[in-house]
Amino acid sequence: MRHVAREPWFVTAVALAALLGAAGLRYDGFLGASLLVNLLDDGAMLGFAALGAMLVISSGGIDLSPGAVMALSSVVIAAAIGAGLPPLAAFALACACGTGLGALSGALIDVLALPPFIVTLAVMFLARGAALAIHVESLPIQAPAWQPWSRVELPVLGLDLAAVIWLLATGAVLFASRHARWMRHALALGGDQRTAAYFGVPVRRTRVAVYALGGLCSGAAGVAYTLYSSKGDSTAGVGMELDAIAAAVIGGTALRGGSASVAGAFLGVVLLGVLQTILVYEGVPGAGWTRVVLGALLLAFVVVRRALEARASR
Amino acid sequence: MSASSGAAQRFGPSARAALALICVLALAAASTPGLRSLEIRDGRVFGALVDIGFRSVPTMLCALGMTFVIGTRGVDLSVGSVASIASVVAALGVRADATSVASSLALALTCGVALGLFNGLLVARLALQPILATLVLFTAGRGLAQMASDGNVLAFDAPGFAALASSTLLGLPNPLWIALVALGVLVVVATRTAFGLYVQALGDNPRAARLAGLPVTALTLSVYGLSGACAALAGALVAADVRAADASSTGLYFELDAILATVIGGTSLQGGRMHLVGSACGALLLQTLTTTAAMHGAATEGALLIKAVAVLAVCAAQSGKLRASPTGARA
Amino acid sequence: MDAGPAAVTSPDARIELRRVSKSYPGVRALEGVDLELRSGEVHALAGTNGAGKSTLVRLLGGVERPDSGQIVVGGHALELASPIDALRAGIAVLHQETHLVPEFTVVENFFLGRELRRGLRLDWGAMRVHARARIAELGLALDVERRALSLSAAEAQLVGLARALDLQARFLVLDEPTSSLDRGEVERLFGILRTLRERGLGLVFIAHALEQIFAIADRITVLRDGRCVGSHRARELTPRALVASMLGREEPDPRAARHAAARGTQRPFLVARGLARQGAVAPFDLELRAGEVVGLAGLLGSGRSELARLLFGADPADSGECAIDGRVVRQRSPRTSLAQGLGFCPEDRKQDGIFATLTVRENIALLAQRRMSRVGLLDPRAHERLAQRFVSELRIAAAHTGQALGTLSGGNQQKVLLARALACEPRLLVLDEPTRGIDVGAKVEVERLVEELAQRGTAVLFISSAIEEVLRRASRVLVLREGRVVAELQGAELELERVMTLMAGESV
Repeated sequence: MRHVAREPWFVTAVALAALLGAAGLRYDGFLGASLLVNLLDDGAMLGFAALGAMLVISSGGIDLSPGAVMALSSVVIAAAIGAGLPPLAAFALACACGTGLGALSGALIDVLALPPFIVTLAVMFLARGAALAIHVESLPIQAPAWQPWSRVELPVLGLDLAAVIWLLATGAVLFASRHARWMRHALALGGDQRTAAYFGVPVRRTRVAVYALGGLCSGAAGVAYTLYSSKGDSTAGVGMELDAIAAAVIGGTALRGGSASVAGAFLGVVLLGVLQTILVYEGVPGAGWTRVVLGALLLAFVVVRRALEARASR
Repeated sequence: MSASSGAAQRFGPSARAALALICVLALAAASTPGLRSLEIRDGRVFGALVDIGFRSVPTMLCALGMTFVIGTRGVDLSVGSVASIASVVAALGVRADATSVASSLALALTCGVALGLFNGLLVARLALQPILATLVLFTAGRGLAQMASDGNVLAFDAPGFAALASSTLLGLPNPLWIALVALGVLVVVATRTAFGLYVQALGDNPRAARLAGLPVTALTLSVYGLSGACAALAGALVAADVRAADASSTGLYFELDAILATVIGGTSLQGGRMHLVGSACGALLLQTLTTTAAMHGAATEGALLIKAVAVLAVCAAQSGKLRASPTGARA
Repeated sequence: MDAGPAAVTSPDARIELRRVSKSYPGVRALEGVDLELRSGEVHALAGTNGAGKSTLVRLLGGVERPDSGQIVVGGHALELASPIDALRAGIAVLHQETHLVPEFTVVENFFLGRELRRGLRLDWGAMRVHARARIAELGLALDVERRALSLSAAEAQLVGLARALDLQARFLVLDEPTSSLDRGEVERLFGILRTLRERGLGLVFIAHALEQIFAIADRITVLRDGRCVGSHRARELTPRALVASMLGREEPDPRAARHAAARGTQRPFLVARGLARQGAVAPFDLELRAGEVVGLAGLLGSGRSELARLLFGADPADSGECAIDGRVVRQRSPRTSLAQGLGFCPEDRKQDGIFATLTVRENIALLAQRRMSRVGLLDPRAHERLAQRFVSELRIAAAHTGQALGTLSGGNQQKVLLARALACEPRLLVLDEPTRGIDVGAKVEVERLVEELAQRGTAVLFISSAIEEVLRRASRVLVLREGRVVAELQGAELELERVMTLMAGESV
């Protein structure tokens, strides 16, 4: 039990349970399978981005490009299907784009020794520019081949395909964080890069791999977006990069790197989803409230975690 | 004694940023005839160059405040949201009383300072990482602005306030002079006051700064307060320019542009030495890219693509890591 | 898992450096260095700061490559382009400033970069068992699931050492492994190193303390200004000769230095009564008078730095009180101390002291500027005068005062740190290890400075690991052990043997 309490996502889980409990008491029929399905379906997009953000942060970096890469990915899918590519191939192409841009970020950061903040910002411009260059406005997918993919539901619980992939991806990363060598190396980079290098961790390769995986996550977010909305949109995901970081942080990811909170990134996104659902139940108007509540939540989390850390170090 | 290498260390990055700006301007002017035209009508200078300067003012103001924050090894992600709040506050002020120009502006600036101090408190008192601490206000700030404006665009008819952005002095638009004065004052603050020296010492080595007896908390509060004030001024000028405040669009991406301008200007994200003139050049450079691309008809996408490449090139030149070996880190 | 005996005892198991050179911008770190490292031998590298020892270590560890020259391992010239290449060549390095990844557990650190696989998974069970066993071989029973950040410096060091040994290295390079260990821990480390030597490993050892070098080394190579100035068998060399070789000049006999006379005014400047901080320093009383030098002696971890920080207000006290100039001060901090005329040079120069990107002038004038400001603006000319004064008084070797402090050598950084404190004309100066890690020449100058300060009426609290230094300069010495002041010696009681015995905790 003590071990569980020391996990970085513990506070998130407690808050989530409390929020669900309170909402369940307040609104009839709030809790139920449909809530879970909605949370997962709606969360997949941000979920992928938060998973990528968590990975990059725990390797000691930061990635500002997820929103733009997601937009690019969705436009690539829409354009590719429009050009006659089968949807699966279009997905693969989009994910390859994301991975490539991520790898580019990682390589530039390592080779030019530039701060990740700046490099991924440039890649964000690059991705957004490329998306706009492919298509300026929203690009609906109307090809007949798309029909079976549009909001395809799986027999399990009636979850969307994107949600299922998100769950699987989270599980895979969770496994990798304990059992994949390169992932251990990525975490070591976040903990202490110099020591990692002295211990024989291949720094450049590992860093490129982490950002590439982050890019893949953003690309997958684009797939989720397209599955969800049946269109590509070069203006999608504006501001998502910082939301993804916020979700990862709420999930217990420490900005100093060195430890992964995979379950936390998942719980963080779910928590945000629950919060939004509650705001809808409360009938709160406008986007303003949502932002304010999200900000307050973020503040509460970083302060609580800070206090816990201070107590633990004493 | 030779002061030359000391001067190179102190002023080199600003000079490099200025050089980069000149190169970009020259390239832009060579490829874009429209950029070269300047004319004087009714005692006012018109032309793309003036336009670049005018449009870069909000980013420049934010970048100046940001330079101080980054100088302490911090970062302020909330400047866009603060600008948005300030624009709404100013608009509410002049909508209530069209003649209350000074008090509306003062109110907006006060808001900016207060929000900046909130950031500073989180960083200094709770010892939160700056990027996290300011992410809070980044997220919530725009929401506050939207709540304050009920989600509407607040247009106003207040010639006095609009004149802040539209009137001219010696043929050049007011905001340019405001930015210039801000730059001048802050350069003096950075290089000739104990505050400036302390800020750079704090960013260089926070632990040593505390042990040396520097007023670390007050310094941290001040730089975030200053950044808030700069962002608020930027937001007010944007509102004055368009004669309206739009909570959801004012100040969008200000934080990223300001950080970019600062880094292009040669101030390291690791804190320490500040290069305010460099930051100003950085803001002008970014705007030159945007304006030039727009004049080529390649609106947003072109600007973004060029920006990406130019940013990487200038930052790589500033970091100087291309010259030294990447592992050649020596104490 | 043991290193194969063939590999260790093969006649070719040696490393040769041939005419190796390495430069950094503005510094020639190594110039045509020849060196031969043999297995079954402890080879000490000696030299003052900036002699090139650490550069040599980085080249051996594959962190950097030489500009010219060859590194020949086992008869083959090798290109050590990365730490991985060095490990493959059988060279493991324990770097000075690096220990373990703090967030990782011991076992994760132990196997970092070479995790054991079983099928698709990593075999944490086997790794735990193995790591625990290898660490136990060094005489340390450790929970391998503990995170590295909770380990003591000595524990972390041993984990690093166990790891290096587990890599089947034939050569082990230890860059200042003893700098954060206390006496007992050093002995334990030396015991382990001797065993390794028996097993045929080649060891390279770097330390500042001469007695440590002579205690362990078979062969000593002296570097000076990036050149190799001599390689000797340890028993053919005396400490005096070694110092002379390191400095390139004859060391003045320290016994000639005058013993500090008891001095000091009647009224104490600072009085501490029952000052204490939980887990660091037990309650102690202390009076410091103007013009007297008080020494603090104690092993690392005895609480001497903690006591200094407490006196300066860097850490809050849990109990007791501190009066300065007869007035009790509450809520102390470095800020209030500064205002009351206290100065402090912390032990960890790089982390706690200097501002590396600021210029020498800015560093010196940082705290004193408030006396020279005009209408709130700094006065650059006054700063320059101040900086020039200290540069010449303390013989700071800087090209000009506008040079970034980080580009100066360690000894000169230390002098600038001193200048910063002195520029405020403090009435009490707390010096925590002002001579640590600086070369012998600079040490003598720092000592001279302490003497001068006292003569001018400043109270000085002087902390040093070199007991002789403390005894030479202090008129009174407090001995600390395990966070407690165990003795206060003066006059004839100030003897090396007596202080050492007290520090070690043996009965007098």
